[in-house]
Amino acid sequence: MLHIENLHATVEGKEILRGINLDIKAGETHAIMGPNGSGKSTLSAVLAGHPAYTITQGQVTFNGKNLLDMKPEDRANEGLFLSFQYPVEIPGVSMTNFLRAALNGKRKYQGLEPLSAADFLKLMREKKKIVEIDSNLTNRSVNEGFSGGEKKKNEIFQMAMLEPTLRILDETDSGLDIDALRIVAQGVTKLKSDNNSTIVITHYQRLLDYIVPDYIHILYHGRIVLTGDKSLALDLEKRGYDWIKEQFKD
Amino acid sequence: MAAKSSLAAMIASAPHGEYQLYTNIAKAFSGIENSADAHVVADGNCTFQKQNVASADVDTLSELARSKGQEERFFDYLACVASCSTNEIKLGNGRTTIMLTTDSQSNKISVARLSVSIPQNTQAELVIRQQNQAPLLVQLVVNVGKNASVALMFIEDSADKLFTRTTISQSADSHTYLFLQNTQSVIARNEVDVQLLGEGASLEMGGIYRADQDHKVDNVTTVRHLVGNCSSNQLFKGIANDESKISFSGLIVVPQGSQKTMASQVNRHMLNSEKAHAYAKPQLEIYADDVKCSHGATTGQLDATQLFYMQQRGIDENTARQLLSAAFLSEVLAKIPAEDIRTELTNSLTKTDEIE
Repeated sequence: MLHIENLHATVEGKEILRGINLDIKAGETHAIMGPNGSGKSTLSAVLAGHPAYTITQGQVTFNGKNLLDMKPEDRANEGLFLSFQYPVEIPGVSMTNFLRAALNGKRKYQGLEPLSAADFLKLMREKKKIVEIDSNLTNRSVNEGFSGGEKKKNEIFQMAMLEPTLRILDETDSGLDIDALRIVAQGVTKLKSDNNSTIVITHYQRLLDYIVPDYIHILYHGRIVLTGDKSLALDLEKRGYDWIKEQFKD
Repeated sequence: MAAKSSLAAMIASAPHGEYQLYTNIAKAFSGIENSADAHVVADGNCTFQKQNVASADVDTLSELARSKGQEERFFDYLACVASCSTNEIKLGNGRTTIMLTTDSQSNKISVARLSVSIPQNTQAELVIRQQNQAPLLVQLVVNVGKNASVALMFIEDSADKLFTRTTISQSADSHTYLFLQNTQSVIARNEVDVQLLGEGASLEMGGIYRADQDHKVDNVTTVRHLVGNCSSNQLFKGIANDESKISFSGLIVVPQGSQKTMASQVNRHMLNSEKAHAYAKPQLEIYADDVKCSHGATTGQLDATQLFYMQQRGIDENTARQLLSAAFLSEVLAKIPAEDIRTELTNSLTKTDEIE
């Protein structure tokens, strides 16, 4: 589904990704872990098409198409979803109008008619249940006045509405208490299928108890230095990142 | 109807220079050969009477318009020359709607002179709508009586060149809410001049404007706190797209003796393209020392983080910009006291291709 080859990316002239290679097949869950500054968030931003980053080398194909050539909205409509680490507030734009524009944007891309108001509201009611999200929150402006936990739940709610095939979760567990973490993680798992894939970017092992990865990659200084299975996370929990930094310093 | 030469003479006396802001009067009025009264229909709890007035002496007015300190009254003088009738409207409680229409010719300026009074203790709403695709000048003179309140809302349904000059005199304990809106005009200039004449008077003004292509919108406000213990608040938000130009110039005058004045003025401009221009001129002339007066003017762009977030959800850039622009203006709409008008404008602003 996703094939990343020798990806190099810079921001403000500084090279952050220094040759990423990664292959993700449908149905798989990959975790990306690593110390601060290793390039985890940069990778997710680059895949989503954030304009601040410049690709200096390498290629990325998504469902056989050249991802790096596509506008952010087209990548989304192809099925790429990024759950942001710090979701932004958009006062004055209601959740309803926002989601309806997003959904109808995708349908237009696929050559479908826009969803009727009634069908849209029905869909919203259905999907709210998956993340136990309050009606109150969906009546307001996007993320306005939401707590950290509510913002993360709202990310997963949007994911439920848009049904992406490649779900990138950027430090979804940051700022969450135990209960919120459980609800968010369970939401992600409920939406998992053989047809979609997940990239979980995280520091901590605990999220991976709920969202069990098939592979764990350790990112250090812009490169994937180690790949293992879920037991690698327990290893890191015990030993920290020092041994990685020691072994792979350049 | 003004004789061609009188109109031309008056137009030639239009102010030049900085006062014009982006409205180049000579250019705006080039090709205008004659004038006519706009068709005025008033519907609601009011009394309405059309009055003929003596034709104005062009030379005197022309002289006056050219003299120092009088340029701001140009549109008043022009209205006098261009039209020989005024429409006197006395508002009762509740809503009155005035509909202005013209016979749409681009070489003619239609003029609506409205003299509106709100008697003591009255609570009125006045919605002024215009459906018009030709040059229109609206001269609105408002007298708000003691303890009366009025919500004046200009709704621009369609427009070509639209000039409004609103002069408001407020008595003690009166309240005025004024709302201005320009989203389709090719050239629009709104002038508002308010005098707070009695203690306890309060004024609230809100304006939204959005210019596309090479359109121009200017807003000029003057608020004079002629006595103490009055309050005024202004919130004007404008968006300039493409190569358009928008401006806001707001003067607040607080003479010596007008103690306990509370006045605020907030102007926010958004520029959506490299060739768009915005100009802001906040002015405070404060001569009393026990007052609270503030002003703020900012010019910025759409928040790139918000834009990217929307794109990441599959909303194309144009639609995202439209939604964010509407969100920007919604702060002003939220203060409109009439819920139906608020809803009408919110819907028309947020209407995009993706949300039918």
